[in-house]
Amino acid sequence: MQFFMEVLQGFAVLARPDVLGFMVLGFFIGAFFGAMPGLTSVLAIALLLPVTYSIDVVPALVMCASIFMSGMYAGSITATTINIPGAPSSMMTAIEGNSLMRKGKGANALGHAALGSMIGGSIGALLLICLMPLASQASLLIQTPGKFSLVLFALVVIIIVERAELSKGIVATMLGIMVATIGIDVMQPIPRINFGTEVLVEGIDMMPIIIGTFAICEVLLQAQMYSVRSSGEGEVPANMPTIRRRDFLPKWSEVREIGLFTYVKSALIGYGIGVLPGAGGSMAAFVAYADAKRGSKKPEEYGKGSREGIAAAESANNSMCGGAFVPMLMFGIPGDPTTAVVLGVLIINGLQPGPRLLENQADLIAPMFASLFVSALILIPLTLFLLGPWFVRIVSIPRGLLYASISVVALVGSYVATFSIFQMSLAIAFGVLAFFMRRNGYPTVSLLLGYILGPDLEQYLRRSLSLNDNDPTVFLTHPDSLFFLALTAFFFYIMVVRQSKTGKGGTSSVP
Amino acid sequence: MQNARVTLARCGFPLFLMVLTTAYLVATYQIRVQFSEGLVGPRFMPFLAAGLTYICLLRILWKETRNSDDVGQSQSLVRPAIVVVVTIGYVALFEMLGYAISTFIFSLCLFGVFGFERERPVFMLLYAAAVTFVFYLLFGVAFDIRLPVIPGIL
Repeated sequence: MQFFMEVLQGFAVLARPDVLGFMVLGFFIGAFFGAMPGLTSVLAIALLLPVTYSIDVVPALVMCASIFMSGMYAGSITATTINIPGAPSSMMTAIEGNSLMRKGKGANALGHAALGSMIGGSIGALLLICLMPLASQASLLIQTPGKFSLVLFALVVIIIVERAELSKGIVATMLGIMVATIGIDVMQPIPRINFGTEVLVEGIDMMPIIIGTFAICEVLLQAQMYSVRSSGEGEVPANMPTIRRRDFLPKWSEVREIGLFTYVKSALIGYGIGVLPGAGGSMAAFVAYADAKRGSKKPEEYGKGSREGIAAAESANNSMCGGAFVPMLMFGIPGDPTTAVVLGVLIINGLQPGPRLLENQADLIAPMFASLFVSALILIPLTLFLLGPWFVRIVSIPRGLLYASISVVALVGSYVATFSIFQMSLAIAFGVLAFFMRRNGYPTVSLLLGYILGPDLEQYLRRSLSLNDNDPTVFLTHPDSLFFLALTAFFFYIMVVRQSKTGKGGTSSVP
Repeated sequence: MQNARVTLARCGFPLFLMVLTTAYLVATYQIRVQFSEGLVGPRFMPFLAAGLTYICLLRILWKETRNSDDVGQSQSLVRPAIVVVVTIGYVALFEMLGYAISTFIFSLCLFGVFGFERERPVFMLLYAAAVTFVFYLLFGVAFDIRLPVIPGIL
């Protein structure tokens, strides 16, 4: 009950002009990055990371939540209008939305995408608020061996769901763990792997890894693609029909045809996938889309402009936003790349994820939940209605100007965080590493998540063994640990062993 | 000949990662443990991570040598390399030249790489000045952060 009062208080905090301003600003930043092909909300929050040193924790978290929600939604804009998904999670929307666009019903498709995002995002945020106290209670039951198995489960799932070649996923994750082991040991006060230098004794900060992996790497990839990109790509077609505001409103008959059940079911699927570590919006949208197609009365419309398909995909990927916060806030295990960066914001501001976060610092995270809900329920439809006709022009912004700006923000941002040229140099080094990783099909998200989860994995492993006379069977005798190990084996079987038997595994499309 | 070049290009990155892992492994041996924790001390996780990386890299190398597909390797690295050089130069000169001059030059160079306003040099200069000014407003004014300056000039 106390938590729900804090959440209500969070809505009151959100009404403060400064906090509200940051939420709206975050929403527009997220919408811009989400709509712009090649840019993502992860990059937006990564660039925001240094700024969080200069603003309070509440506005920073509120801004992160609104960026997350709007970035997830805005991918549907360019997906529909020019058939280039602004975010990977809008792939399904591109198939259906652009088909409608070609039939002259682009605004209608955008309206359905916004409605799906609004319903899904709101349900996800409500589920997050309602289930958070339960998740907190459940997390208290997990002991140290169980925490080790849970982190192991998260790492295994992250490697598998990244859809890269398994070996490359493991290498990327291990690289992240190796970077995390540099610095003071997690149990003993000794420096490790510092190569005899003073600067590495304190370890490598999360900031240059995030800035390098998501910002510098993106600029390098765009520089590489510049020479092979066709001149017309990413531009608004000259013959695109004028979009009027009233066209955005979906017809009631269409909404009834889709049905509330589709929206709610897709939102629940999205939320559930969000809770799964590393899964993210793309998987949420794909699973909900496939499920909606399976149960549809008009499956023949899929691929040719199905509004139901748009509703299912958008409802799921926005609902995923709420689910992704659960493992991040309770266990420090990010549900997707964006929450991995939000975790960085929490840590920078001295907040430690875990069940105590809800007890002791609910006043700081409640406005973030409120921001997630308000962004979905009010800002998504309002922004589409007010700014929709101009949104599609976002892709016309010159790439040179855009990437020069991103580079300046990324590098100056990594400098201002610690006033250290060394941090800027590290950001470049990680940017170059991430660039070659992506070029060669290694998932960079796994690098980041390995870095984040590595210390927890090691700490829980060593603590469990030292408390149990180095007896490794402790992981099999504790029920919570056994449960997560069995879950790991189950996932591995379902997603690797069975897939390879049926010949479906081993794709190499890596974000 | 072409196949050999493609294979070499594909194996270059895993080989580089192997060198990195080897350097890491050497540093792992130099960890001085303060007290013994049994099997899983401060060296355990670094050894495990390096070992798993080696095994997977060997598997990747084995697969790459049998794969003649050159997907992802054909794109030129010239522009990314220029961006890296320009960025290293920016970082090296950032404190020496101050925020304003270094950011202005950096923006100009990136505009050049991305071919932005190349035909209109005056506009290119104006946009570079605008980028410098806008982010000065963000960091220097809005967030009141002290950016490096050349004393008495900028």
